[in-house]
Amino acid sequence: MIRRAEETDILLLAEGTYPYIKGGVSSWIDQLIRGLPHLKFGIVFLGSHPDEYGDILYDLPDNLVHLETHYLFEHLTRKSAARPVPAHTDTEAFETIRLLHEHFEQNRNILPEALHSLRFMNETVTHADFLYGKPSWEFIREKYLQNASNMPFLDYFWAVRNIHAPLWKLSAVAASLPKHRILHAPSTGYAGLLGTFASLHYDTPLLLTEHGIYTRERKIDLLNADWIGYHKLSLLKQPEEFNYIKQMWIDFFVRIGRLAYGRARAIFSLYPGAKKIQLSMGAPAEKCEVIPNGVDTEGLGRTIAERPSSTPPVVTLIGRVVSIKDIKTFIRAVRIAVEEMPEIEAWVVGPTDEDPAYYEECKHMVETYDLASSFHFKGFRNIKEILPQTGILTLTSISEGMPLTILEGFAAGVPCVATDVGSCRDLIYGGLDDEDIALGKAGVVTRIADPTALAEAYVSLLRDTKRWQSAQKTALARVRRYYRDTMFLHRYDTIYKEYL
Amino acid sequence: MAGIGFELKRALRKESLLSLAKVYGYATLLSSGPWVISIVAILFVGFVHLAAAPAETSQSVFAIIVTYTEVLAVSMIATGFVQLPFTRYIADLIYLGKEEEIFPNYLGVTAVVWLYGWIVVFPLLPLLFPHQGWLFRLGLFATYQMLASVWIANTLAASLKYYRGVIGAFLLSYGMIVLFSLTIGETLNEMIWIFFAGNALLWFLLSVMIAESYASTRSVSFSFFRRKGFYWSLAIAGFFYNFGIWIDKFVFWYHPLTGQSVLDSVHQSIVYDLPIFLAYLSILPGMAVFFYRLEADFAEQYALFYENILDGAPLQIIDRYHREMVRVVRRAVRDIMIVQGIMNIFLFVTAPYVFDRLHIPQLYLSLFYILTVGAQIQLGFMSILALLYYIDRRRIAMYLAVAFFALNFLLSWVSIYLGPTFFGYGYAVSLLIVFTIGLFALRKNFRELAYETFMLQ
Repeated sequence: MIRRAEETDILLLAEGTYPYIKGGVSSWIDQLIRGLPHLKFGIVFLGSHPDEYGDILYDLPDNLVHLETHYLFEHLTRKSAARPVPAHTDTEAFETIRLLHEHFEQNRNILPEALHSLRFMNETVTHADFLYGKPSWEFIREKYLQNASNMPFLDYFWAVRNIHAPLWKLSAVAASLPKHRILHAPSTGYAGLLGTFASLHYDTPLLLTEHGIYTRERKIDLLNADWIGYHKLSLLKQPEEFNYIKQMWIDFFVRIGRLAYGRARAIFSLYPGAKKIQLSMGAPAEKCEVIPNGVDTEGLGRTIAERPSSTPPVVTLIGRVVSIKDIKTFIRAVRIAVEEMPEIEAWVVGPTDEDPAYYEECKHMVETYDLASSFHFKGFRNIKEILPQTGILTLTSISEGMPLTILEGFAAGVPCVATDVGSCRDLIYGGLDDEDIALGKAGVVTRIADPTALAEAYVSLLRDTKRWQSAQKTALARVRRYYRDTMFLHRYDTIYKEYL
Repeated sequence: MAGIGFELKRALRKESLLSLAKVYGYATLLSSGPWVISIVAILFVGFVHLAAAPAETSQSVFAIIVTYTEVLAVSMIATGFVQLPFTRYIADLIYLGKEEEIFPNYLGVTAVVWLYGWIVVFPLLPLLFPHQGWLFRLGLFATYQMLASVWIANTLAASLKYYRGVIGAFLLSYGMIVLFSLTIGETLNEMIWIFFAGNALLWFLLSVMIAESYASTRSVSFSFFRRKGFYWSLAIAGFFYNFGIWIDKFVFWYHPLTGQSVLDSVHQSIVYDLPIFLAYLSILPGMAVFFYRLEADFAEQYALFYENILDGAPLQIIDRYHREMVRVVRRAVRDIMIVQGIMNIFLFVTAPYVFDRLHIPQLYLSLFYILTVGAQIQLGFMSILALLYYIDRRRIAMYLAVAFFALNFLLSWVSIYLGPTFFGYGYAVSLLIVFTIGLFALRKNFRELAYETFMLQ
């Protein structure tokens, strides 16, 4: 408990983000709290394990009156001194669990009656009952034989334990939340589930804002995960989709995601593409709305005055040096572009320490391509200094949500060349409404992993001054019209008022 | 994205599972074999002496044998407290890969046992033996110290599974005792020093065996006594089990109706002693069978059960090994019953003839019968305890041992008042009770082994 208040207006349920992790969601939370100083905010931080988080990375605003932290997988490393004692579980209560499972298997959007009260998990069938009880053991055996009888039982058993353990933790957290008037979860997943529990318990409205699509990202994570044990002889190994344990995890996240969609009073996404995915994952259309992120257009707009008279031939990529940003494609594109326009310079602005091996590979590539004089890794820099020296902002990512850097670039009068991922197309070509499209193109959108197209775009924009200026005009118009931070704050302020 | 990165540490669960499996590899039964050998050997000395020696010396020979038997009993009870925890400690050291710690700790425990002898037993000598000279008292004391050290060495050697070496050492040293007592042993003093010499040789042989396997740079270590997690339940179980197997004898020795003094404070019971020691002879075959079953079949099944769990076998396979393990236990218990049953029938048929040839009054026959049955059940009880230790159910084993002691004490006492026809029933009935309870406890614990392995680690 870092800050404690008896009462808050808005309780934000932050899973693995603000104030311990930097990133899109964290900046959004920071912006939101600072932007609405007349509201009292509280944050319930959910982490996996205390070891994975360092210090608080943000100056906590004054109207953040409450901050509590919980770790869902802390128990995995805690050594209990005493040998656990068998719990004397009420066998009849366990029948309710059976009903719950049937309920979930039907993929319903609402939590079954029995779980509407937190008493069921905190008193009737407790975590100890689940961990040590005989009925629990019998139930796990039964489900295993029914569903996964070829999987290593040890792995199945631990998957069941690890999937379920956070549920009791969350229901205990839910039972002791401070007084609040609105619950707001910036993601589904565990945060959404906590919101669902708490919203039922306190009968307070739950709002949901999804930045990425949590469930889908979890799926990608899980399918790539190698920590999920599966040690069969390699000859007997089945393809990934038959890994029942991975499927269990995926189903779990899909189901808790649907619960949050079901319970939330309103579901927000950042761009129309994300809303579409939400709908496909079971979010009711009448609850869904797009609220784009906003940037500080005025502050950034002032940097335009610092721009040199002619457009600098600098292509800047603002982002972490990691494989998802596909820096290597950027290097290839620059190699091609330099052939035609030798004066082009390329900058990568962002931390390089997250995936050191990838960074080494990139540096090596720059040397091999003989780009040492024109390609520079700048590390972490203040964007207000970088943007005025930038001719084109670029993103070569293979996956994005709604990249704020594009908007920040727009606000500073920098057009953008980006791959067609997330909301990039909407931002560059316009996609919110017809008027937005009519504003024109603020740059170029290419396919992913297409260095030739990227190079072509860089060169043509930098060479064709008229085209560049028109792109800048569109960029400024679009960001000022649709993506001002004041607008997004105003939207949330209005929504909060509605539920307060 | 928002969301926590949960890299679960898979290694953890393996560790906790293995810590349960580490108990694997020690068993009480392994160390209880040799004491039967010593009793048999001592009886043998007695019989040969009685047969060979002139009548006037036989009285003192008999007295020394009774005395020796009681020193044996007292030393076993005194060391009963450390034997099992020490065995377990050795298993832990082996599990942790700290084998160089074994020998120094062995010497440390022996030193403490000796110190205990000097402080507690030595001052009692003049009180217990007011009519004997110091040469005898010292010989008796030295014999006690040697026996106590032998029990410690024996537990260690047995848990390290030097079966052949241990049996060989026992045969050699007791062979020497028999030989010298027949050739040069005439007085009490000579006899007691012969016993001492034999046990000293035995202890030396066992210690050499241990030292050879576990060379160490340090000489003595007392870390066994210093460690926080001293296995109290094992200590109590060992103490009361050892006390329990002797308490009926003590009751008969020291009760005025059944016992009398042979040598100062040393008592004997003319009615009880011979039949009970003969009965112990009868369980040797059953013991051998159980050893074999435990070592050859059960240990393997137990290992398979755990290996399969850790290797990620499906539940059906785990269940199958679980059933197989239970089946092996069942078969072991059944085999003991059958082998002992055949042995008993044989003994019941031949006993009158044997008693006649050894000039033992036929009066003892019915007592011998019931004690034989009792000894057989004791073997079963020992087996159950051994299995309970094997699967690390220390607490229930402790309750059983304490119950055995209390029942054997109480019922043996009561049987004396019920009259000679009931002699021996105290011992047999108390064992029957704890054996039955033990069987149920064993069944329950084996049934729940998978549940406890997974859910309660």
